[in-house]
Amino acid sequence: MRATDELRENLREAAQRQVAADRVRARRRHRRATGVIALVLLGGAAVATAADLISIGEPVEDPRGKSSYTVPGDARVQLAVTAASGGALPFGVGIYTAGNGDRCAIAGQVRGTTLGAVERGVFRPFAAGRTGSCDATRSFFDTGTIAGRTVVFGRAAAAVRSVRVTVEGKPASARPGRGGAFLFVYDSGTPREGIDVRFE
Amino acid sequence: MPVRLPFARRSTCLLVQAQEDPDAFAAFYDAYAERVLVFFTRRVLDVDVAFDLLSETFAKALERRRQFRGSAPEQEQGWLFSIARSELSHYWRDGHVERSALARMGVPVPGLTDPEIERIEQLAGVGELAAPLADAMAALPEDQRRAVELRVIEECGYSEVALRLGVSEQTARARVSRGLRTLARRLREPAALLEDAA
Repeated sequence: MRATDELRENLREAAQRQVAADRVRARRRHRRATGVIALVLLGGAAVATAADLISIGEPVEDPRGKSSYTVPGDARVQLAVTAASGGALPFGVGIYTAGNGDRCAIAGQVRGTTLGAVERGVFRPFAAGRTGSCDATRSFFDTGTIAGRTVVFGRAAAAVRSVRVTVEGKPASARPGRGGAFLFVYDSGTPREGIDVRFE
Repeated sequence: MPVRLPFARRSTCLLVQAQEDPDAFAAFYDAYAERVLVFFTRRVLDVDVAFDLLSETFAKALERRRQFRGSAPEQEQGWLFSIARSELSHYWRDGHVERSALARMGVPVPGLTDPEIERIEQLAGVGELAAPLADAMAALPEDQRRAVELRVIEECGYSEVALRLGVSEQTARARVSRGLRTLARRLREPAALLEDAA
């Protein structure tokens, strides 16, 4: 078998493992949700889950001259919202327009006005060419894990007045910042699947 | 009225189908692997390195497939090539291919045979680049040419390049990086490569 074909088979097997693992995680979440509902129905005390909201992004007031880096097509990323992370560095969302016109958002840690990530204890600004999440539709969201926190971020269309995020039954709302950017920071252990986001 | 995200929409993208279907990921690989391999080979001029970069790129694509938000084949291709460019950038900067996603996904990388290497070189048209490359190398400033020769041809590590040139490792890296960027420019590679090499 050629190495290129062998690599494809190795990737297919890894994909099988990933899909199987995703299904197991989904079943566990379903069982956990069922258990929580049962406790509530039985009149138990409030159930503490890991899905605790830590902070909601605040708009960056004066973004002039605060672009942090460029993405392919030389589009410049601008920091739009920041939120407390509960750690040393706050989190932030940068926005840019991709070469094909898509509206994009990228989340990371913020030092000063620079977007990046802490790797092995050292803050490293995002390198040129690193891309975020984009969508041709007008409003979108994505989720990620940064420094052990679960983040929900994205961009809302101009007409959207409020973004409502519901995690494990707990709703939280925020007004979108510049460019429709928004950011919600949750405690570690919050599952990234099953998050409901509505643009209202 | 609330606007719901169209996450449940039916997509023709192989990458979207691959979120639930391992065979779709294999089809995604079949659709783009050759193009990505040619992309890497024409830039690093080393088929073994290009194949390692290809492997890490697809492992990252597998790992991040749920982050893809596009709905058209050209979007999935653009998304894949953004990963590829990022891997190339890491390679230029660090001098070695990152293998973190391969490790996390548990994907072994098979070795290439000599006939396969020849086939890929032919596919990428590496032979056609030999004469222009020699001209471009000859036109490099002496310090950059020697740094590139040590790093790329003699396959020295950056510490050894620095030792042999009598400069700091940081300076050695800078000379190799500048030399490769100049070569890319003279070989009329796309602007993206220049960004990658920065």
